Amino acid sequence: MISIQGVTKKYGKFKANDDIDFTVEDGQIAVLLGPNGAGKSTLIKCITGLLRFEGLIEIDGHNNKSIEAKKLLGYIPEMPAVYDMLTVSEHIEFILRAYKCDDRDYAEKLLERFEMTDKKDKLGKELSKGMQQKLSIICALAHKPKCVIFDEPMVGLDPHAIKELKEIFVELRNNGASVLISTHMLDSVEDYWDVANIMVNGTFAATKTNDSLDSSKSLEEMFFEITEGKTDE
Amino acid sequence: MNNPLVYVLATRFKNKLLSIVKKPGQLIFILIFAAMFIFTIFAGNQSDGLFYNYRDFNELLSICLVLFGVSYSLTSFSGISKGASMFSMSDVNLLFSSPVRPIPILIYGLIQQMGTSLLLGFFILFQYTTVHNFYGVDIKFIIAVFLLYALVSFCGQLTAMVIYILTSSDEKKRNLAKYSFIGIIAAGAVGIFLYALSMGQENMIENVVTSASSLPVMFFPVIGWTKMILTGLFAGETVNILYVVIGSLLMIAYIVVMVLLVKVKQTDYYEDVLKATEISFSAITAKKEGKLGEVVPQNVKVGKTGLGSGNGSDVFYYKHKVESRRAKAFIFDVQTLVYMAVTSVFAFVMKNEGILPVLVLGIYLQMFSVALGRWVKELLLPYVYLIPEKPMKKLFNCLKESFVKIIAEAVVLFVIVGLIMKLEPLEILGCILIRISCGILFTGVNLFCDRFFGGISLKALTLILYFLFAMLFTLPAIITAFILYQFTYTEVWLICVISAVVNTLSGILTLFISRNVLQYAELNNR
Repeated sequence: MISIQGVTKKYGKFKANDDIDFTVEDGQIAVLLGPNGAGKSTLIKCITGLLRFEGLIEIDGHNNKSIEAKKLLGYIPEMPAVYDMLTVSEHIEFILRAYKCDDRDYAEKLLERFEMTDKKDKLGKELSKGMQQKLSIICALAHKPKCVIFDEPMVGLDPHAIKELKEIFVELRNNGASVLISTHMLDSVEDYWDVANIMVNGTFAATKTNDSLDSSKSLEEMFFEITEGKTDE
Repeated sequence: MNNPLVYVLATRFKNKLLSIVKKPGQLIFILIFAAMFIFTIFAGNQSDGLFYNYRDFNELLSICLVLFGVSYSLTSFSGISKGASMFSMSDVNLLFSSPVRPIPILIYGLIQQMGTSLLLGFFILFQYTTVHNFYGVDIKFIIAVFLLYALVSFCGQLTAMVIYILTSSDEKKRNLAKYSFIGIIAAGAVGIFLYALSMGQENMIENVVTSASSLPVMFFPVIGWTKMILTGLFAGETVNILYVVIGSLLMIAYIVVMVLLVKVKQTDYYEDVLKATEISFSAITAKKEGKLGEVVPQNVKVGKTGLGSGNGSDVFYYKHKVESRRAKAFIFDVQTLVYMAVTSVFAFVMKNEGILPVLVLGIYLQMFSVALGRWVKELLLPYVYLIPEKPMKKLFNCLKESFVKIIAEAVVLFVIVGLIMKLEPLEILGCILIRISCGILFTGVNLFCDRFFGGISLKALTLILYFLFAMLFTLPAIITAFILYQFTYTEVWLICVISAVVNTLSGILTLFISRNVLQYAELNNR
């Protein structure tokens, strides 16, 4: 479970996140939506422990900066995080060794699913941006994290990889993981989101659960209604 | 304003000025910079009368020759290897596709490059106090050196761009051009050195100066011509117009020929420049992001794959070893090798002057090379923050490879220097220990600056702070050495060992203060 309580992140006087509260339960997919500059990526970086903040963030009951929390966390950043001078398979070896994880089979399966098996000996710098993104996703998932945070994961991915990633979202949920996805591609999460948090100007403008949503409205309609005050009527 | 190129240049310049006013950080930096420059002039002039015996002015002109030579060859060499471009990615994307003729765009690039070149030589202005005190020159001289340095850097960039464009279709041709270029410069340097040697080994400094001041040297392309202008302006009681005119004409002719060479390729230069721009753009981005020093080589030999070892945070050490092997920097990278060569040559020239000047130069250059460690690059990706280990442990493992290099570098360099200067084994040991302690200290100070000033967006200011704190933390060792030398009868090698211990303790203190640098990525928001 990811628990965020009273999180405020300031840059000087500017509040990028203002007193945010929410949780992502085990076996739940939460999506973080909002226009550019709403504070989604900042919030994600606070959760992953990359930024300082006021408030409390817990990963399965552990403070997010603790070693226990880091063991449980998987993070796919906005920009692919790839080492230029390591091959694809060395990236996986690096992650497995760093997280002291022995299960290489899962990582191999991920390579297969993202059609990266034949790229195993390619260096990070030789990969296209889309392939770097796939590798970044594989690295974040290779150690089987219990809480996974995706920041714009679909950017640059080909249709096959998008399909696989969508399946992975569902698999993670079915296996009891807490999944938080920040995205602008509303249709990409339309089919399987459980909770939608819509951010505007650093605060949550609305939080909706999938079962509570008026079935006649799509996620997209709800988004525009809240962020722009518009409806189709 | 009908001409789009004039509009872009003027608007960018105007916005640059406005951004200085809007960003207090930049304004403070410029004010500090101006204050330091004024202080330098003031301090230089204050000491008038303290130094009666000025050194030989030709010696200063020879130093300028070396400065111009290093600038010209390094700018050109790195440009030919990695792609030199006078254009930014936005120029390529917006201007190259626009209905503007290629030649005006080239001129636009040249003007832009001149501006950049001017910025490169600002450090020269701060040498005023030293050169004024030792050689009795006035502010006009230092401004002339600054402008000529900018001109040499500009010619270096231009040469690199021309060679890159003319040889871009063929890797072999480019390599041939690259090594021929360096061969010609090296031949010039060896020629000066051999001529100096032919005068005997007794007064090596004087001989090198005499050799570098000879007439043929002044006709060496670009480097010699700039020295000719400088000599014409300042060497005699009155200005030697002939030298100034010949030197200037040769420089102008060189620039015109280079531009004509680009024109020969006509519109074709777009494709070549595009590639060079992409490469140099990645280098600039890398620098902006703090990936100091390393631009990923174009052709990397993967070799043996696999990290082989490591569990938990020590995997960083093994990863760094693999990365360094592929970057062909397994023990020493090119920059370190250049610095070692410079120090060794300096030791040869100064062999009768004692070890201190060589030690000081070596340590000064080390301040730059330490900032290039692989650990710096680690701060830019999220893994080092996310991996579940204690920050101090991760930090140690990230620094491990750098420490191995620091030790290897110290041993190799001072064994060579020791042999050149015929030092006692204990003196060599003392120098090695001093060098290692400085390596640890500078690494610590680098981290310290990242930890406490990493958020400053103006990187030049961070660099100044790095130098200031490096000097501050080195003070205890310098004071210790001074007291021991001045008030006790301690042998030199023992002073070195004791100072190295003090310096190491300062280094450990900086590392301890900065131990949480891997706690948050925003501390290293480069």
